[in-house]
Amino acid sequence: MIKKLHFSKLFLISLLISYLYMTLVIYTIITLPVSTFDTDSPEKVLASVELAYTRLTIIAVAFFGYPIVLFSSLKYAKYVTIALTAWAIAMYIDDYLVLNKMIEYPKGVFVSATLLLRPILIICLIWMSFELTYSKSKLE
Amino acid sequence: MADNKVSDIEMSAILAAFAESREVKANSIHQSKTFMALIIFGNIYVFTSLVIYYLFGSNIHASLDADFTFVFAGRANVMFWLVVSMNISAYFNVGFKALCLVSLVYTLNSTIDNVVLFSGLLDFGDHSYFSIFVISRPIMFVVLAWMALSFRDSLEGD
Repeated sequence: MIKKLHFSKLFLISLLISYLYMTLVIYTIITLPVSTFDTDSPEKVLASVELAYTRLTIIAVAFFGYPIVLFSSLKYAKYVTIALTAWAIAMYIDDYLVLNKMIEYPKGVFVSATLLLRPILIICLIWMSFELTYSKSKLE
Repeated sequence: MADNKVSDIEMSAILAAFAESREVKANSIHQSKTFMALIIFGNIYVFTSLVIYYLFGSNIHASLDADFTFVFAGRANVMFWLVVSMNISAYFNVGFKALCLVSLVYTLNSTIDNVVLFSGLLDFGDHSYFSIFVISRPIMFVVLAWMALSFRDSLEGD
């Protein structure tokens, strides 16, 4: 039985944007042609591809698992949202401060869009985390 | 409104209730011995690994591309600041559980990334002192999760 959730419109918009972004990421990684990579440094290309597919797995788990947690328990949904937010921020910091010298991003419209829209996903996740922590959302 | 007069005694009682600093209030919450043991262990583990990395890390650097070694240095810096933040938040009792969760997620993410990136490039068997910390990483996951669960943060609910 699906329980009725009372969230603000901003929460629902944030959730929708997050799902649209995840769909874009999944589509981008799956349809990424190998020819778009710079082949001057094969080690970096291999690292980028392996990292992309590892992250794709985690995104896919979050994509299908999050609604189950959200509809079953608000308490655990709060912790899962904070964990996902922390993971998104950790990846963002890692990519720009730690892995920037060894990741080769392929060229393409979808890849550029994915990188450009990344802060928006993080903002949406932060909003959802705050709302789940501090607002009086109710589960019927 | 005119009837709601507060006497001097009542006013001083209200002021006294809010005069105590958060630090004093936070210190009045006694953490369990388990938590104290865990936080001491976590600090020793992280700082020992950082000291060993900065002392012997050059051996790993010699066998890797310069760009790849940048990853280890970056991760060491991030972990250092996370541990410092956790200690401060535990002392002042502000957002410790959230920071524990962030550290746990960051440690998990960096472990997965390291496995993916360095599995074919670096043989950890050649660097025994380094392998100890790679193998013992699951202990750190348990310590972080246990710390978050055993932390008493009743102040936040006041």
